[in-house]
This record gives sequence, structure tokens and C-alpha cells, in this order.
Amino acid sequence: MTNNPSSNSDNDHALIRRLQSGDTAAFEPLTKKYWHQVHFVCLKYLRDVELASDAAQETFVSAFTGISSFDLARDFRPWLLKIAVNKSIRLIKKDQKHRTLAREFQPTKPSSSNPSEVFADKQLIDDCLARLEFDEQILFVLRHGLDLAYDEMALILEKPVGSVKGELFRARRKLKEMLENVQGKEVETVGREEMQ
Amino acid sequence: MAEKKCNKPELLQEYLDSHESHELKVELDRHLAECEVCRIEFASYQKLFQSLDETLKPPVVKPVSEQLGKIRVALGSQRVSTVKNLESNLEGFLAAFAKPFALAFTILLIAGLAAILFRNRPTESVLPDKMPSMAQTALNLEKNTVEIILPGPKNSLLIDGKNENLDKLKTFAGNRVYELPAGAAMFVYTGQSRIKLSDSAKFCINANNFELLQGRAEFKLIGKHDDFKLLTEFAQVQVLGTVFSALKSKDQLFLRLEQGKISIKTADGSVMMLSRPGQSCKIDADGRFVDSGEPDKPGKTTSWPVKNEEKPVDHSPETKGDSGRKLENSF
Repeated sequence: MTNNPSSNSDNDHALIRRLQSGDTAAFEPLTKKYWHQVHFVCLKYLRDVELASDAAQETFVSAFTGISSFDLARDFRPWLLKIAVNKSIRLIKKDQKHRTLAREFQPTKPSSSNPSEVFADKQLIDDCLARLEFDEQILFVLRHGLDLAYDEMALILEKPVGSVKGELFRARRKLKEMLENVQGKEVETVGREEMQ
Repeated sequence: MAEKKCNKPELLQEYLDSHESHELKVELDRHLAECEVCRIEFASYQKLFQSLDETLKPPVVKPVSEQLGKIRVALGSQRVSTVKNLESNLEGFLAAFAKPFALAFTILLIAGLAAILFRNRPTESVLPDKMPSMAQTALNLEKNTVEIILPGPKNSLLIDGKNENLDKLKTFAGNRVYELPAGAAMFVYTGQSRIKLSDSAKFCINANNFELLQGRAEFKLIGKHDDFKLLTEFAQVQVLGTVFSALKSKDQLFLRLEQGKISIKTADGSVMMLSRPGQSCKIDADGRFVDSGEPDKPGKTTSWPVKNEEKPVDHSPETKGDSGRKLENSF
């Protein structure tokens, strides 16, 4: 979470009020502040840097052209990220190849044979994440990458909070089991080599 | 030996997600004292969470000047095009005529257009090819801003039950319910495509779908609208490049095709396609196709419910055949 969510939100709202009153120059600080998060979400969906940049740009254009309908009682960031997700999904539907990428990766071997270190092996974790279902990957992106709360994730994904929590917890257990299985196979292989 | 199971399998993850909430910490400590499974798992999950946070942290990417420039241009052009349309039309009138005469002419023009558009002529398309000259603000279905309104008796909309002045409305918010007052019509423009709303239409507008809760909506969609859907309680309509009308009452949906094709999927899962101009169908409250209209022969009146001419709106239960205003008894 951001260090001072209350003042962070106040800063955003001050800029949004300026935009709503016609001061279009206020778009730039908001864009610079959230570009990397929006771009990150688009990239995770689209897996193409150029497409992600275009989608991020369209996200901000949509957000700012519709800014007069933004309710200042809510937080800007999850609203903006929801637009990014919707834009990306629309682009994905136009190009079905993105749906198959989740299954194309093979996990590398753990860098350490110590079972307790497998959860600290970032490369292995990254490879195992890539083997998860697309919807599961997105849960990790929103929760761990962007540090969103369950209710913010629910807003973005248009699902009940309970569903989001349940799916996230199951996805984590699945990832943990994948990591443990990889570790188990490595230990077995080492054992067989030693026996020869 | 029976495998040990945890009775609070979610607590570990909830605590780690909470950024060390004090309340959850107390509950977790109590639970760890009793649950061997979680004691074993806790260290693994802690490391996993930390690795996930580090692995998935977004790289610092900043927008380049070109990208900022494009956003700036998009924002600027939207404001300018709305103002320019209004200015250029007004300038034309004012340059040709004296101001009072131009004002009188404009009022007559609007009144004349309203008379033409609201007159009961069910056999003709009521979608004009040219926009009336007094454009106000712009509604684009994708970008969601209002383009033109023809006011009825009151220049207002009901939004989630509250009366809002149309002059102040800048955009339509997604998932909000809007209702036209009786006698009012509204045009929604996006590029060359348009939707005309009338007959006390009650609706929601989102980026790529339009939900009709009651009243009349006429569609003329030009170009690519692969994602656009008309949603109603009884059926959803997929647009395939088309001019068509929808009339929704409390217990029936009536669809008529003017041009192109539409695909209809009802609430009970049936699918139908209208592909011939003049073809129509009715769907009941259970999502069943009730009747499939054939194309009209030349000169024959359409199968739209007949509207009583020059009658005031009558909301009494005995009213019949008052299409578009009171539909309960009109089929």
C-alpha cells in the first residue's frame, strides 16, 4: 500500500477537480504518476510492449475524456486500472493468440536444492506463474504487483469480494504446490544420480 | 494415522495480505499455537509472499513526450470539435440574417423538426440523415459524451430516480439508469452511427453495450461494431451491421429490422437471426419467441403497435393501443 493513502488520494482528487473544471493541463501529473501501473497491467494482459503502450495511452484518454463522471468519493487508481483492464480485454478478443501464451513456458530447475529456498527463487516463481491460468496470473499482478486490496480487485475484475479472495487463495495454494513439486522432482533426480 | 487438517486454512494468507494487521496477528498467534499444519506452512507462505511482491513489482516506466502529446491532443480535440460545431452553425445563421430573425428561424426549425419526427408515421424510418443544427454537447457511445438532445416538455432526465437538468449533463456514466420524460427524444451519435431514444425510454449506456429497460430505441450502426450489444431483460441482440428498432414493454420485447442483420439470443437460450428488411419478432417475458414477423409487402403498414393520435398520455389501466407511451394493453 502507498505510505500515506489519505494524502495520496487528496492529491489525485485535487488534480481531478482541476480537470473537471476544464484545466486540461492537470492530466499530465496524473498520467506520469500512474503510467507505469497502467502500462504494467496492459502488458500482463497483452504481452506485447507496443500494444501495451497503445492500450495505456487509450486508457488515459478514456479516463480523462470521461472524468466529469468520476465520483470524487471514490479512489482514482482502481477506477483507472479498471479502464485499463477493460481496454486490454477488448484488444485480447481481437487477437486470440494471447490466450495461449500461458501454457508455453517450461519451469527452469530450482537454483538451490535446499527445499526451503524454493519459495525465494524468483526465476522459478516467475516460470511457475506463467504456467497458471491467465485469470489466476492477473490476481497475482493486482494483489502483489500493484498492492491492491481485495475490494479494489473486486471492483476492477467486476466480481464479488468473496470470489476474489477465494480465487486468489486457491491460486496461491496451486502455485505453492507447483513449486513444491518442482523441488520434489529435483531432489528425486539428484538422488538417482547419486545411486548410479 | 489421520492426516491433520487446519480449520482456518485462509487465516495465514489473510494475515499476510493485511500488512500485519494487529487484530489478525492476535488471531493468527492463537491459531498457530493450536495448528501444526499452519506452523509448518507459515514460513513457506511468508517467503512466497515476499518473492511474489518482489517478482511482480512493476518496472518504473515513464510516458514519453510523444505519448503525453497524443493524450493532450485527444483531450484538446474533443473540446474543440464540440465547440466548433456549435460555433460554425451559429456563425452561418448570424452571418446571413439579423439576430432576431435568426433566432425566430431557429425556433421554427426546431419546432418543425420536432413535428416531423414525433408525428405518427410507423411505416417510415424516423432516423434523420442530417443532424438538427442546434447541437449542444456530444454523446459518443464509446467515449460516452452527449452529442445532441431534442427536448420535450421538460429539458431534463431522470437519473437513478433524481431529476437532472439536461443542460448540465456532460457525460453518461456507465451502469446508471436514465429515463427520458414523456414527449422527449434523444439522439446518441458516435461517428456516423446513431441511436434515437423516445417513448419515455429508460436505459443504461456503457462502452460497448446499451441496455433498454423500457421505451423505444432505434439503431443505425455503421462500420465495425463487433462488441456492441443491445441488452434487455428478455433477450440480447448482437449487432452485425444494421438499422433496427427495439420496443420494450413490461412483458414483451418487439424487434424490427430495417437493414442489415441482427442476431438475437433470448433469456431461455433460443437464438434467432433477422436478416430481411422489415422482418420483426416478439419475445415474451420468459424469453421465448412469441411471433416471427415476415417482411411487409410494399405499401402495407408495419407491425409496430398502433399509436393513438393526438391523445394526451393516459396512464389509466384501460388505455389500449397507445404504443410507446403505455404498452401494457397494446399487444
